[in-house]
Amino acid sequence: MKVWFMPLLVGLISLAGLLIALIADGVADLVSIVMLAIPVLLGIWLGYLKRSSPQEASRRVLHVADHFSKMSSRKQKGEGHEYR
Amino acid sequence: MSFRAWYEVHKWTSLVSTVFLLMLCITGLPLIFSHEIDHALGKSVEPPALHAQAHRQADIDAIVADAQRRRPQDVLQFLVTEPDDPNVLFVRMADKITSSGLTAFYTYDLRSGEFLNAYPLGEGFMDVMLRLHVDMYAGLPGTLFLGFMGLLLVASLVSGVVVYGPYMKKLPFGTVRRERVARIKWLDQHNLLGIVTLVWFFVVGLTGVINTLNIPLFGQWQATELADLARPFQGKPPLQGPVSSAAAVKAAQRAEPDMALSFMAYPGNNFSTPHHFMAFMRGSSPVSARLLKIVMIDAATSEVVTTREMPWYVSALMLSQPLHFGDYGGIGLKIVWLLLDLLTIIVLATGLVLWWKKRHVTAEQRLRMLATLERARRATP
Repeated sequence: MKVWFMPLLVGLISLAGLLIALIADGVADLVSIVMLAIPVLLGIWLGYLKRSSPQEASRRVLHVADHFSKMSSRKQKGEGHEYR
Repeated sequence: MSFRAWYEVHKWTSLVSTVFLLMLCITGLPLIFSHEIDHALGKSVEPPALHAQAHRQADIDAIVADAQRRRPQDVLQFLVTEPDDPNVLFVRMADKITSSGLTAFYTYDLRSGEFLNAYPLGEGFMDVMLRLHVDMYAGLPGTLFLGFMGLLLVASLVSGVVVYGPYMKKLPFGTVRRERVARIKWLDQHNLLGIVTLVWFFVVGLTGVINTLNIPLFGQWQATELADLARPFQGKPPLQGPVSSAAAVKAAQRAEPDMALSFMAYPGNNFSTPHHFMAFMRGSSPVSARLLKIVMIDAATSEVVTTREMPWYVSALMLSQPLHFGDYGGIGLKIVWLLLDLLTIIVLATGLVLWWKKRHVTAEQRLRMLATLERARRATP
């Protein structure tokens, strides 16, 4: 349920945004634009602009070190990928 | 179905269609603004501002005569109006009345009757974009092929949602693990952008598929309802003498006073009968403007023969056009359309990169496995 709450919300907002401008003119166009801008802003903000939290940032240093050691051990073991 | 099976559906539907979808998304970017770009390049023109006294309507027959004078060897196929440009009338001409291609697309001022512009046909950057987007220069088979790619997109989106769940089980919405290897970051961005653009991409994809059926859907209407309308007049002698387009438009307007002319087909056209004008009327709201009503007008007498509604499948086609083009909410909606299009390009590109990387690794693993097997085989006597 937690996984699907935001996708459902964004999906319903997008759908409403797509339809509102279709059934009315004037201020409805503006409502549609704002609603359809929500997935755009969420995507750009979370995907590209949001800085990591301080916790994550401090972990990053460890991760980089971890990453290199993993890479070398992966090469030896022949494990190429971690997907899930 | 298991996760693995859904994953395979997502992988293969995407792999087959991604190159074409990328082409469609990229050529679609300028097409969102084709109206604005045509005007900026001077290919189309705005009607000049006229004084309030010039609110009269020009004589449509004079406009038709002018168009005919400009191309005496051609015939008029359609008169067209646009809801956004109420003061202009477009005249479409072709070498033959039944031609699917056109030879001229003229713009006239509907108030003064003045000739404004001839749209340059089949040339320039935007024409290349349009042809690639619509049929890749391959005609109806090309269009239907792109429609099939759109169906694969729909399958890819549905399966993508199914595999999204397990990936995101332990992660809060919108997590992008930037601190990890690039591939994990791309995976997170692919998942995030994919899920937020899902409904828009689904609707634009599905309405795109419906739009690829334009010719077959109108063909179905022509073969059934239009043929039924034409049948009672089959034995009549061919139409002779001059016909009045203006009188036909007036008759259509009288028959449907609350609607406006969307386009009118000339007698003998694929959208009319050999003896009748067919006026396609639209309502004034964004939705009713798409639900066309037809008025059948006897070309010889300018009398209305009958009026009909268009069948549901043509209405579905007409309604799917704005939802695909994004041209129903002003320039603001077009900008949002552009941004969503850009995000879906990223979804397609990251998806492709993720597959490519994984494919590479799997091949390596396979090689190592083979080497191990080989070593094991040699080791055993």
